[in-house]
Amino acid sequence: MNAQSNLLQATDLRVNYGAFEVIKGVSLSVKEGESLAIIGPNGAGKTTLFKALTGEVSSRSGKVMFAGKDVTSMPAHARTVEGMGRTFQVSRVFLELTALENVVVALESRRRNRKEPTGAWWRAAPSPSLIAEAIAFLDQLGIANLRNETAATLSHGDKKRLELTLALALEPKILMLDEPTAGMAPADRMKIVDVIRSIRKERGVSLVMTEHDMDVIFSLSDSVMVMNYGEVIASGSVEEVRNNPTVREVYLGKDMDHAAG
Amino acid sequence: MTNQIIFVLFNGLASGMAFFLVAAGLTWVFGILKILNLAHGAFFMIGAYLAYTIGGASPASIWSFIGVALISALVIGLMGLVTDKLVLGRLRNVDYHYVLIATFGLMLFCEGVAKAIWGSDYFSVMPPPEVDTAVKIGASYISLYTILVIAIGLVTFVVLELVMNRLWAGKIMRAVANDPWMAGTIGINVPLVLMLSVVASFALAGFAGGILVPNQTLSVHVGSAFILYAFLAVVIGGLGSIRGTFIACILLGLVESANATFLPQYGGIAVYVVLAIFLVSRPQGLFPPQGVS
Amino acid sequence: MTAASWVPPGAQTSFTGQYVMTAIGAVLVVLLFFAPELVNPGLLFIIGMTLIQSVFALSWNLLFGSTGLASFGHAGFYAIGAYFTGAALRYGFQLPFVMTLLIGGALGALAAYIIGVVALKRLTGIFLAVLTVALTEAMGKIIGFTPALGEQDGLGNIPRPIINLGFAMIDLTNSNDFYRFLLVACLLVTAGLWWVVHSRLGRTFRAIREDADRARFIGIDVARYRVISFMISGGTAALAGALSAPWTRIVTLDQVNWLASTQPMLNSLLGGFTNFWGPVVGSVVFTSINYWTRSYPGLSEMLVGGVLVVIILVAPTGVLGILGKIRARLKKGDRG
Repeated sequence: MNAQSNLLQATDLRVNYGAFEVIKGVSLSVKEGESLAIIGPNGAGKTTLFKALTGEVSSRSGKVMFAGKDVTSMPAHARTVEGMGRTFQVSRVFLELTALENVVVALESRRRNRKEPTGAWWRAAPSPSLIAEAIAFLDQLGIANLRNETAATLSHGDKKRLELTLALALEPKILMLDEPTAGMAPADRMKIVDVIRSIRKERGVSLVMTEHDMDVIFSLSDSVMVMNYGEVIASGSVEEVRNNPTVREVYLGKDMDHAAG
Repeated sequence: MTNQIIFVLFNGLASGMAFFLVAAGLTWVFGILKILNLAHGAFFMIGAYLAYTIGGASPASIWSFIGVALISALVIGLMGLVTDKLVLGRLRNVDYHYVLIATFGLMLFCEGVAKAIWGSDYFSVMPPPEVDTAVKIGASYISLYTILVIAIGLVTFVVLELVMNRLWAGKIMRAVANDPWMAGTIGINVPLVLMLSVVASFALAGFAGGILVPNQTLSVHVGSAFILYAFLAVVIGGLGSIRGTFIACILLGLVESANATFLPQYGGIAVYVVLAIFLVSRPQGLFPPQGVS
Repeated sequence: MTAASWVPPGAQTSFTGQYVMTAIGAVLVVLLFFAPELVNPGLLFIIGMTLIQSVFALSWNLLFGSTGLASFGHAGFYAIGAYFTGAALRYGFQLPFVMTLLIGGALGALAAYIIGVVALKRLTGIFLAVLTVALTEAMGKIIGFTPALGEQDGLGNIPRPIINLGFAMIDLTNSNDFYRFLLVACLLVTAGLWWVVHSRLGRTFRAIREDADRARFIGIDVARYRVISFMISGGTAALAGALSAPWTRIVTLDQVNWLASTQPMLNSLLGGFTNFWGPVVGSVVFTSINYWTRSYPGLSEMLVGGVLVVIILVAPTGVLGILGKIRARLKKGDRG
């Protein structure tokens, strides 16, 4: 696959909730290593689009291609195996498991799906190399010290970090982040941005995210797509979208003026 | 052949109405509180025992018969109030698995109490004298008690439907069922409504116990048989829908009756075939719940 | 960063704690082994039934405590194993006894597979509950029509087996001998279930229980693993039933109704469904309560029902949960 072809491509996606059409023919494409931000007012359909791309809901019509394969009818777990990593708006982790167990489960799943060795089959406990890899992942996001804490007792920010660890442990080709910095204090926000940026640099992971914070978008995205009422109203580089009059009108322009250029 | 059909029709309708009297309370509680009350059958059973204790094995007249059933309803409703205060009320926001376990424990507890008070013997109660005869329809003899049960079942259904759809009390309950948070915001006393729903549901179970006690062998297990059919009906009819439960109960009653009359050597199996068909083709039930997602 | 940093769920974290628990366990096993010499035959029968009920409860809790699925018709699987083994022994099928047991278990797993593939994909929660009850009731009705299985009277006169190993014969016709076989078999099945719960498979189940959608987004095929859990659960329940047939020497419809299905649920919830050993503790507690209150009708139901309600209100994780909380509180006291 050459660098010019698209890693993720959606064509004319339509999603219904009952009789109500929520996504009205959305197309997008993300190249390898690229980063796309999807913005729009609340209710524009951003999360629904995410769900359709990752397989959480099925689309009524349209096509989703990922890494050269047609994944439109693939269920969520199969798309994950293909290389989609996803985080949720309200971070979802396995609450009654410890942080370490969370990552171990993700790693075991990855190794099983890729037919990598998972240690002697008769062992109950995970293999030492797997535990080491899990701790390394936790360390990368700065939460290795919390590894034996039950996930339910973690702070909001740490849960977000844990969820990001889970997504990364799968070694995905693309990260689908639904509002990765929602609810975080400004200092934390920039830390997460740094982590994501370094991950992109080290592993060349592509990125699709929804966000409201313009600073985060400017730091992380190559291109932006603006949605409203289930349709794409503008897309292009950050500068192009920023100066688009329709977008300013719809978005009231407030956020864009405030953010540093 | 027509005799048999007439028999199946009346018998089936009566069975269906009997199931409905038990299932109505169950589906109501599920619709409003979103919990499946496993103890419902046990309260029905205690209602039946209570009616037997108060009214005796031979009720004096049809009015004393119905009166005793209403007294049962009152007492069981009060028991429901106590249960709600002590147990169910504390489990409003808890994972539904835990509530299931709690109602299961309640069911066991009630069975134990009934065994302790009334022993493990079987009792039987006669229908009231006015209806203890048969009437001839076609060439078939139908017991008047059967017709009474059908009548009471229909009246109960009509009353419930009227309350839910016409009276303001019903509108409030449906508001709470659909969106408790919103209902609270507009000033409805949600905890009170929930408590009253529990009480009403139990009262209905008690009433059902009183009405259905004749023509039964009264034992500690009488609740289990009815509650099983009630569950099947609630699932087929659609959780929380009184209309759906009513139709499902009639369907199950007719099927069961037909099964017993035409295929007695394979009695009791047809209802499960019906359930299987529904679960495979329309698992959400006849009238699916319209809640807020 | 060593293997010692892996803490299996629910395990003792101190070395002395592990040592003590293993020692207590070993003593218990030895006592159980010599039970025929220590207690009268009536009590031995009850102990044997408690062993079987423990395995039955463990099989149910694999589904509920570990995978988050509530089966309300588990007696169906138990009955499959019981009736198959009972018939095999009574009608003299030419099968080695251990093979009979394994086939009984396999039939249970097969039934679970069929139900799982047809139903689990779209039915969870309440629908699964009603479906499992309905299937078990239907099965009971069908057995009721089958003369070969004893219809309403049950399948009786089941002989105890003689295991032919070729080079030796193990005669289990004597209660004491069969009891020892039963003990060994239950220990083996329990060990197997322990392994499943604590292995990679068990971790996958727990992830599904915690958050099925999240599990999908980790690449876990949730539907497939739910069916696998159902199969293991159904198979071991059938094994419990299979072991019970020669022990009680009669299999009746009482073991197929929905009340019988509530027994493993009860035992698991009583003992604590979040701990692997909870169902075993619950089975022992329940049998004890039943035994001590047997002359007072209704008292056992009141006690057990009342205890369940109190547990839910105070400590949803059962007896072991309460013990765990006490232990945690004592540990905090130590540190402070």
